[in-house]
Amino acid sequence: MSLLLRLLLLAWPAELREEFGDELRLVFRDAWRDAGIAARFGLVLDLLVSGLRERRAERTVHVTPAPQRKRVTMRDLLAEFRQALRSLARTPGFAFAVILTLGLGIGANTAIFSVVDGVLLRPAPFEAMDRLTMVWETDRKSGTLREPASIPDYFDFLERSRRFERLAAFSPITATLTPDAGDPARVAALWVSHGFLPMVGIRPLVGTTFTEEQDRAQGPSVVLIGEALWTERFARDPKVVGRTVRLGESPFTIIGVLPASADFGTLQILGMAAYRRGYADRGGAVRVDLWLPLQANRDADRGNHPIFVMGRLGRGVTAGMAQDEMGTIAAELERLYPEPNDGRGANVEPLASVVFGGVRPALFVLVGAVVLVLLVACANVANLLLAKGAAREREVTVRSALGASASRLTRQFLVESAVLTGAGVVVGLLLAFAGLKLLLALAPGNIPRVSAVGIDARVLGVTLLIAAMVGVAFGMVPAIQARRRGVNLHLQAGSARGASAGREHRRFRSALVVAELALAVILMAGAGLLIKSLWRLYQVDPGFLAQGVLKAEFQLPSSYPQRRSEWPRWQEIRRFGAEVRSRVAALPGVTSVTVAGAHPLEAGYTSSIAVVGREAEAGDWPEPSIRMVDPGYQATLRVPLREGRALSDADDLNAPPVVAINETARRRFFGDRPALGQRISMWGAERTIVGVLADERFHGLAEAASPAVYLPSGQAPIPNGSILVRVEGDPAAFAPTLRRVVRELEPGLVLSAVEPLVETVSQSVAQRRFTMLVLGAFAAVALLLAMVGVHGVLSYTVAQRNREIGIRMALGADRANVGRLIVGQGAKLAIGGLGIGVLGSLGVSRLLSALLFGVTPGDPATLAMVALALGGVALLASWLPARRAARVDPMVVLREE
Amino acid sequence: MPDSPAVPLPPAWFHLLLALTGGERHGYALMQAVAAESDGQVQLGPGTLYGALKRLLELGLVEESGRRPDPAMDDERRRYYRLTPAGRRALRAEAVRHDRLVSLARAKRVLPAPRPRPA
Repeated sequence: MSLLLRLLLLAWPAELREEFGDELRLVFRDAWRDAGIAARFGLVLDLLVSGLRERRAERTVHVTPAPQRKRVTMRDLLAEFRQALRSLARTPGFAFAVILTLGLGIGANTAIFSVVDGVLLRPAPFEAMDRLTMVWETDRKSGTLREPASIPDYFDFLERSRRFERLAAFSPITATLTPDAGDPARVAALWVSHGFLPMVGIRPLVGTTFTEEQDRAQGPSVVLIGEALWTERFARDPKVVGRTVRLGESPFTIIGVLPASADFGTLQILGMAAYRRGYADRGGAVRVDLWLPLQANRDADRGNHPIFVMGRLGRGVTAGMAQDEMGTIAAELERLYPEPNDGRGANVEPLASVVFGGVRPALFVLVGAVVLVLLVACANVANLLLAKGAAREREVTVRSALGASASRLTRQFLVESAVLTGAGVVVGLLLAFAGLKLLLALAPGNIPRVSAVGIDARVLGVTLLIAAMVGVAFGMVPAIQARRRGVNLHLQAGSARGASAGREHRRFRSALVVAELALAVILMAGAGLLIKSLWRLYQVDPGFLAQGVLKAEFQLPSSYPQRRSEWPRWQEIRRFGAEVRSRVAALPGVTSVTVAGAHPLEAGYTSSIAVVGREAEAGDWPEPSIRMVDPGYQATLRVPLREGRALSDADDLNAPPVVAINETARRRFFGDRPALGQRISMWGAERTIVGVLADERFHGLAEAASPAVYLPSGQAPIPNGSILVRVEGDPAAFAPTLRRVVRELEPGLVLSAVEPLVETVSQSVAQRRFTMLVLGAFAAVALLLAMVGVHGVLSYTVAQRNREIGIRMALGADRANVGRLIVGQGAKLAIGGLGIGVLGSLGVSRLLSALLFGVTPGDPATLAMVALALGGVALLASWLPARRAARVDPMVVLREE
Repeated sequence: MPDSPAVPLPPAWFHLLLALTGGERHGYALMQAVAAESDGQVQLGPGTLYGALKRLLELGLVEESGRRPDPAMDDERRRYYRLTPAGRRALRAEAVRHDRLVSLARAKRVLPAPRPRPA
C-alpha cells in the first residue's frame, strides 16, 4: 500500500508533495482503511486526477505565456521518423545493443510463458478436472503409496463407495498393430472400463464410446482409435466406424475415434506408479493410439494388481473426505481377505497433482528465471538509453537554443524510442518463435501436453507492453531533462559542466548495473546448482554399465503358448530365448547378449517373498522387484558380483531352484546374517540364494535401489522383456542387424524402443537436463547483458572524466594508473553486484531444492565459481574503457577547452 | 491578505468551508464531515481535498490552527484547519447566492413552496 501511495504521489507537483505529502499519506491511509473495494479504486483515481490537475494549474499559473499550439501533421511525423533512423544509424552499436536486449527479453519471456501456459494454465481436456482423483492402493509393508489396484478390489470400491460420483479403471498395454500390408507396429493402447471416457468427459470425434455390454468379460472385440492413427491410417475417413484393425492375429471392430487430447495425463499417471508402468518406462513421449474395453473379470486374482482406478468426486466432496471413506473400505477388505490384502490401504490423490506434480517445480523455476532475465533486459535498456540521453544533452541544448520547441524535442525522442522499441519487438517475436521451437525440441516427452504448446497472444501482449513502456519511458529522459533544466543553465554550464548532475546520473546508472549484476549472479548460481546436480547424478554408480549396450524391447506373439498350468516349462519361450542368444552372440562385433524380463531402468513388478524359517518376519517386508534374467545378463550389463556365484545355464528345471539377490535385499532381509545358502519361498517353491549382485538403480539415477530378486531364465521363462546386446563400436549401428536376426527367427515379433541403453539413461534425466539447459541459457544471457551494462557505465565515466583524466596525466599520472582507476570502478560495481546477488541467491535457491541432487542450495563451490565468472566478465567489460582512458592524450583534451 | 474570491465558489470549496463552520478539523475529519453533511452525496478524495485546501490557504479563506493534538491521543503530524473571517464572508456570499437561486426556482415553480415547519 505504501509503495502504491508513493507511486501515486509522483503524479503530484513536487511543491505540493512537500507541503502536504505527510498529511496526505495519513488521510489516505485512514480513508483506505474505511473504504470498500470500489471506494478504494475511487481513492486511487482521485489522487491521480487531482495530481495532474494541480500540475496543470501550476504550469498555467507560473509559466507566463502559453505556447502557441501547432498542429502536428503526418508529414512532420514522417520527417521525424526519417530523422530518427538517421540518428540511430549514426550509432549502430547502441541501436544494436538496445534492439537485441529488448528482443532477448521479449523472446525468452514469451517462449517460456507460452510453455507454462500450454502445460499448466490452459484448461485440461478433462471435464471439471478438480473433481477427478486417482485412487491408488498402498502397501504398508513396502511403504509404497501409489500401486495399481486388483480387479476384485476395484469392484468392491465401486459397490461400497458413496462419495465418488463415478469410479473407472484403466490399464496400459502395448499392442501389435498388424496392417494388411507392411510391417506390424507396436502401439501404445489403454484398456478402459466403459465408464472411463464419459467420466473424464472425452467425447469421440466419430462413433461412440464403449457400452456396458461391450465391457463384460469375454465381450466383443471392439476398439476405439486415436485421432493421430485415424489420420495416418484412415485419412480421417468419417466412415471408419465398422471397419476392422488387426491386433496381433485377431480382428477388432472400430466403433469410434477419440480426439488427440484423450490420452491426457496417461504417461504421468503411469510414471508415478510403483510398478506396471507400461510404456511410461520407455521414456520419451508416447502417444496412445488404441482404446480397448477393459472387460474385467470379477473373479480375477485379488493378489494381482493390474489396473489403475480413477474417480470423480461427488459434488461438495473433498479429496480428504474421499480418502477417509476409501481408507475405511480398504480396511474392511483387508479384514475380509487377510491373505491377499494384508497391509493394503487406499490413497486418494487429486489428478492434477499427479499429472502436473512432476513438472510444476521446474516450470515455476523457469518462470522465475525468465522474469529475472526480463528485469535485467529492462535495466539494460534503461541504462543504454540513459547513456545515450546523457551523450545528447548538448545536442538538445543547442537545438532548443536555436528555437526547437520542447514539444518538438519530446516528439523526436518519442519517435526514436518507438523506432528502437518497434525493432526490438520484431526481433523479440522472431526469437520467441525460434526459442519456443528450440524449447519444444529439447523438452522431455513426459511433460504433459507439451506437443500442443504454441505462442500465446496474451503472453506476447503483456511482454511487449512492458518492454515498450521501458523503452519509451527511458527514451524520453533527455527531453524531460531539457525541459526541467531550461536552456540557459545548460549553455552557461557548457562543456565544463561541474558534473554534479552528471554524478547523480552516473550513480543511478551504476545502481542499475549493480542490480543487473546481482540478478545475473542469482541466475548463474541457480544454473550452477542444476549443472552440479546433473553432474552428480551422472556420477552416481547405476550398478550397470550402459555404454556400448543396445536395448530392444519385445513381446512374444500370442501364438506362443503361455498356459499357466505349464509354467515354468514353456518350451517354445525358452527355445526363443536360447535361439536369440546363440544367433546374436555368433555375430561379429558382439561381446555378449542377454534376454531379460526387464531392462535395468525398468521398474518391472514386485512380489512378496519370505525367508524359509523366518516366515513370521515377512509381514512387514517390502515386496522385492522380480528380475528374470538369463545367464548372459550379468556379463552384458557388467553388474558386479558381490558374493557367491553368478546364475548359469546349469540352473535349469533339472537343477534345484536358485536365485540371486541384490545388496539392498541382502541388507534389508538378512542384515548381518549370511544370505548365501539361505532359502526364500516365492511363487510356490523354495529357492536357494546362490549369489549377491551389486544394486542396479531401476527407478532412475536419482533414486536408491529397491530390494530385488533375480530368477534364472532356465527356471522362469521370459515371454516379454528386453534383448540387450553389448557390442564393439556404436550400439545404434547394430540395431538393423538385431532386427534382421529377430525377424528371421520370428517374423511375427516386433521389436520396440530399440535404442542404445545410454539413451534410456539419459531420458530418465531428460527433465533435469532440460531445466538446466534453459536456466543455463538464461544465466548466460543475463551475464552478457550485465557485461554490456558494465561496459556502458564505464565508457560513460571515461567520456565524462576525459578532462580530469587529461589533467591527471598532464600532472604526471601514468597510463597504468589511469587504467587502474577505471578497472577499479568496474571492480566496485562487480563486488556490489556479487554481494547482493549472493545474498539473493541464498534466499532464492531454496526454491530450487526440489530440483537439486547431491548439492545444497548454498553450495560454496558453486558460488565461488559464479564469483569467479562474474569477476572475469567485469574485468573484461572494464578493459576496453580502461584502455580508452589510458590512451587519452592530455594535449588534445586541454586544447579542446 | 488577498481579496475574497468572487462567487461562485467551486462546489468542493463550498462544502469544505461549510464543514469548517463546526470548528477546527483535521484532514480526514473534514472528508468525513463533508460526506456526512451531504448524506454521502459528496465524497472528496484526499487528493481533491488537499488540492482545494492548498488554494483555500493561499487565498486566506482557511488557516492552520496552532493546535496540536495530544500526542497520546492522535498523530502529531495531523494539522488542524479553521475558517478565517474572510472565509466566513466568502461562505456567506456563496450561501446567499444559492439562496437567491433557490428562491428563483421556487418563484418559477421548479420547486414547491416551503412547507410550514411544525411548531
